Amino acid sequence: MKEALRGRFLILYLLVVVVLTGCWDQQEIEERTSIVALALDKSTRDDGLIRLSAQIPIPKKVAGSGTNSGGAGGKEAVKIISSTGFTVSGAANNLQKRLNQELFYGHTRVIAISEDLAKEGIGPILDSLRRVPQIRRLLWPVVVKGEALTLLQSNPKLEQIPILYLTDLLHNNAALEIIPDITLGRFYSDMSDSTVGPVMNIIEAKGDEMVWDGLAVFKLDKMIGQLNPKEVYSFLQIKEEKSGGTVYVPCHPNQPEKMVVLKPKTIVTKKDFKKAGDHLALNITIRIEGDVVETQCGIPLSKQENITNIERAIANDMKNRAEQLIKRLQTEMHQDVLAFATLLRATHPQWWDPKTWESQEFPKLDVNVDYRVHIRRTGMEAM
Amino acid sequence: MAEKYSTTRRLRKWRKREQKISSHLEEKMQSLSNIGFYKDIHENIELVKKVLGASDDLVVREFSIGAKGELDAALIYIDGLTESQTINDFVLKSLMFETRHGDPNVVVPNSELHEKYMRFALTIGEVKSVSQLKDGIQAVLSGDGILILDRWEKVIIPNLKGWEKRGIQEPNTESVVRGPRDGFAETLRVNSAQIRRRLQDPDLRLKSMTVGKRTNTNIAILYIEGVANADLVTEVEQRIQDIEIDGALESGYIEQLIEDSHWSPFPQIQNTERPDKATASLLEGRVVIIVDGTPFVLIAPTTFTQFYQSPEDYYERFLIATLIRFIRIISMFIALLLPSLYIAFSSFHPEMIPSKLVIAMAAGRSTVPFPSIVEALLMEATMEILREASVRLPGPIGPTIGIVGALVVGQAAVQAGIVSPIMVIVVALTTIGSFASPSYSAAIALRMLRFPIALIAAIFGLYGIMLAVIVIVIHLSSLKSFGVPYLTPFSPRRFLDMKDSLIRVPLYWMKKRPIFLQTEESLRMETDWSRSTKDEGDRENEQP
Amino acid sequence: MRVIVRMSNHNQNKSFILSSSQVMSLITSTIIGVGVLTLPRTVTEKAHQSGWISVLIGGMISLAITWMIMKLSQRFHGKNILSAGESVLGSKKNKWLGKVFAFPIAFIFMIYWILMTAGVARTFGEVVVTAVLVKTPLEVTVGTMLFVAFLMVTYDMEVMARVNEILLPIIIIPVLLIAVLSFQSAYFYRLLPLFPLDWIAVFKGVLAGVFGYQGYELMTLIMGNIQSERKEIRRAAMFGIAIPMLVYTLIVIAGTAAFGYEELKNLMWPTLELVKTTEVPGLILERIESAFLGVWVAAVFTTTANIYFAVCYLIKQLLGLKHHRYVAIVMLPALYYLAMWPRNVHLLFEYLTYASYIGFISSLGIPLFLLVIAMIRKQGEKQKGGQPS
Repeated sequence: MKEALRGRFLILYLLVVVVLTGCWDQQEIEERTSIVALALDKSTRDDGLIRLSAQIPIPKKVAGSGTNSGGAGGKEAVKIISSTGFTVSGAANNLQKRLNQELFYGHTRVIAISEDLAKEGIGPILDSLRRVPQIRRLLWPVVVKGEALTLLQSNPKLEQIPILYLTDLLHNNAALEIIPDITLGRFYSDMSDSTVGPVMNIIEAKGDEMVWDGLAVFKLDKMIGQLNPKEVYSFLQIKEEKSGGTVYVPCHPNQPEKMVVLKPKTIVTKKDFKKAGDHLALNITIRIEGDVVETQCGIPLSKQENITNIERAIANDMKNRAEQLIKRLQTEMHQDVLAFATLLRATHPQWWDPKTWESQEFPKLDVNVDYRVHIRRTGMEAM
Repeated sequence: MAEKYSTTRRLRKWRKREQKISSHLEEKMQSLSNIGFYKDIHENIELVKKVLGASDDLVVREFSIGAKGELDAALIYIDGLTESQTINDFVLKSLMFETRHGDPNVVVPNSELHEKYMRFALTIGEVKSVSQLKDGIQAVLSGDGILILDRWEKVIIPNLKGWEKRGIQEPNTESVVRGPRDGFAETLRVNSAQIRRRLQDPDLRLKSMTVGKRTNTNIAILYIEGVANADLVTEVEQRIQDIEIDGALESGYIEQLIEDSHWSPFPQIQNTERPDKATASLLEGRVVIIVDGTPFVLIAPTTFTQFYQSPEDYYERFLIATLIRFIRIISMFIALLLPSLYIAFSSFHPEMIPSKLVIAMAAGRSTVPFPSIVEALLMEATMEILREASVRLPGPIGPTIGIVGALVVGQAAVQAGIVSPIMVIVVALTTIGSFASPSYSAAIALRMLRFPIALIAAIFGLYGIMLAVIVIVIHLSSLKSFGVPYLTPFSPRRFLDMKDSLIRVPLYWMKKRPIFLQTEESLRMETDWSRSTKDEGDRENEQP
Repeated sequence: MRVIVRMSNHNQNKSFILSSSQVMSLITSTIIGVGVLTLPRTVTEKAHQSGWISVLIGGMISLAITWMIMKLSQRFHGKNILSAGESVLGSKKNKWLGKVFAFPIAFIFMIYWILMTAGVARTFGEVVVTAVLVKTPLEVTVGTMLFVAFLMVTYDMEVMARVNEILLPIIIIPVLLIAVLSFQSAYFYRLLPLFPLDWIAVFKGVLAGVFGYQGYELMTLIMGNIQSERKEIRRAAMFGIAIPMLVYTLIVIAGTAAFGYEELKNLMWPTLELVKTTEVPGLILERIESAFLGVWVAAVFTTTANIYFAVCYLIKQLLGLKHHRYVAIVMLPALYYLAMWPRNVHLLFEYLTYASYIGFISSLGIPLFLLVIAMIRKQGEKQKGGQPS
């Protein structure tokens, strides 16, 4: 008998729920406005407002959609719409008022921030993004040279939805270890972590091309500087322990126009702190193994001494680059972007003082970078 | 008819008020129960004719036995139920013809004479003699006749049964790729014979009972003595005896009247048309119930594993069998959850779908005016209707219509803009998935349950699906089949029984019978066939 | 492994005995509930990057308490905390004395469990409404969870044991998977420095760590249905704590390594964020957090329903009712009201912390107290060749 009662309870509950509810969260997939990219600018009218732009794909125009095959792609496949407001949420609200369906951020892949806005400080922007559960931590924040809107408007034509070109660009190049993989989550962590200076990728939209243009260095939440691609190379090797992509050096100092190009394959980084008098010293040893992919020198590579010479030349070049980067970081930017402090705190917590790190110890840090390059292969050519 | 026996269930624990099934019938039965046969043959004939009425298929054949025909006899039977050949050759001929050669001068006292005729003259295999009228009536109705001899208060019941029946055919609800293709038929004896042939064990027992006041349907309970748990057998017998109903036409009636829980959508007693499956169950220690008039025999107790286990699993080698079991389990989940998952993902959690697919889905759905739940229910309902319809259609048209109908209807619906293409795929997969279960009754349970789950999914999304699954788990956990928890061997987790549940281990590892059946004898494989040195199978605990 | 399975439905008066795997499942699934989502934050707030050590220590404390409960159960076979309390505090002549003295024990546990059930249900509702079903009213999420828990409570302990046994793998495997997969975004340096250990910080975090294991006190109720004289059962109980220990430690490590302890402190539901950052390569689905939440529902359900069951069972025993079903029906609206009472999320956490204090003190103190008294009164010790008294 109790079973029957229980069964009836359940059925009653079902009926009540089905009849009385509004299926609150249910929203058909075609009734959502999926934003694939957001762009944040300062308002052009110079009234202190923030301009929020969104790139929205139009389902019908995207190919492969049932019997109404569009296949147009590109500019016609997306709609770009903007609105302004005092804060990000305010701007989003205004944007919503102009759209027929509810905004959905679940598929937002890229958040583009204009350089001006970055220099003013993106703390308030990030705060609103953090509280929205729909925004994923895996999306890519980028700083855009000029207006962020240009990024949304650019159409490289290789993808139906233009911004996916950028996401693939960032994703694949990060996989190739040429670009650092900076996701929103990583940026949040870096911001909170007192031992690291946050960085963000810079993209420039030149018409229909999207170009990666280095890293933006942040102090707290304001952008204070930029690392060019060459510097990012060392950044990748020292901090991220990624190989960084091809590097070319002159084969011989007497012939600076003839280059030999190395493609690194494996990299092993070791860092070690020591105390030296009143300041700290850091030894970095990086070992790179790679292949030669191009040479203009004409030196036969089958001879061991040639290989050793080239290895040394490359090592020197890299060492210079790295030391230049570090010097710049220490003197010009005062930002420990390379996460030395994290390592210090982890290994020698007694030497680390969060209050004085940036002003005193970091600039005085004596860094010595040592590269060891090993050329393993020379490609398909024997010489 | 439903009202009459639905209130007489649960006789074991408590009785609700019993409805007299038919006072008229009761009276009749009462009045018959104490009547014996008379000595005079004519009175007997009249008695029988009165009870059975003047049906035209009732045949009364009067003849004389003896060298000079000094003994009157009569054979009463129902035409159509009996085998004419037997009657002609073995009853009439042997009694009329052969006794003519007896010594006319021998005079034997009466009772001895009758016994003598039974022993000497009547060349029939199975004979009984009874003195109660109701036994005689029963015999006539079941296809035997009664042989009345003058001046004897007993009558002889020879076995004259013979009627038109369907030959042994392949069961069409349970086909296998490898394995025997004979199935049960509608006659109890034929079915029990098929089991006997496979199980030539002196310990195999068959107990007969009748169920149904008017139909007097024959039922046989089979079990292997010394293997099946004695309490189980007693319980089965007890439950069947407690059935009070005027007619039991199919084993389904019996099933519904003896099962533990009639509210549950899940069957607690298995049914099968295959003798090899029935025999295998007997070997494991279960009880088989054969019901006359239907090829579906019942197997008790049963657990959740019936949903995806088939006897074929044991005829193939274990790797293949394990793989196929996995496929069945996956299809079980698909059949239950796929439409709900589609609704949940597309309406509630589209962020989980890869971005490019989302846009394609949105495009596909842009013409559809209904929310996805309505779309899903519409398609599912159409599918069910098509399926039901194709069962009734004759011959080769049936399955064809099913397939063609589904495709055509689906395509047309997509083009008309009523459903999205993905929905058609989902529905097709679901339907196919539900066919993969080897047990039809079990598959129905899943088919039925996907509708409420889809509704819940439409309200609460993935979280709702999870809750619905939990509710089902709760229900299954509370279900028992003849004392055996339904979810054994998953819970109570008897690890050693699990070696036959999700996977199927090599035959030489399955030395003991399933523990949950609490069989009297647990070892089923004596020879140590295992070629490896490890012998984990033997380290199981023994039964008390 | 003997389990009583009856072939007939007659005489079901013998009380149900739990198998060892059921004991383990019950404890593990009750412990793993809401704590999974909040533990990294509560522990890291105090203990910073060594939070996982606090979790381990908290686990060991819980193990010790469980061992104590087992010892108590060995002295009083077939009795749960209430009946054992009555035996310990009463005398054979005057049964009423024991009942009177044991009442406070039952009362404390009752209050604590009622608060827990309501608190867990509410927390569950909050998470769902924040992260998954944003527009669904809180009342509906909380109410549905309580209702489904109620469905389970109307059955016997046997069914509860089975449900937990079935749901356990569904709970454990995804959580472990998440913990392991999230290592892909982990930067292990964030866990250092390890030594020298900042013991003060660790100890501050231990309390939060122990709170994460709440649910093991279900043992006090179940101990009446286990064969505690068997080593497997006692071991199963220990395993029941060890598994959540492993899971929790992994999650805290993963969280700390992936985010760093500073960021971790900012996150409301750190484990959820952890799931958000995890990518499963090659999977058809992209963001798996909704799937994780679906699985987490089962974890919370077991916690809620088990404790709800404990409440009803305890009250039934206290009042001598026929079946705890009737208590369950009455408790349902009370629990709902209680669950909806805190005005906002932060208030909820405060109340949960208070309830956790009560719980910890009672589950530490009461068995200890009873055990000591039983030892003094020499109750339940095995005499030479005789039965325990």
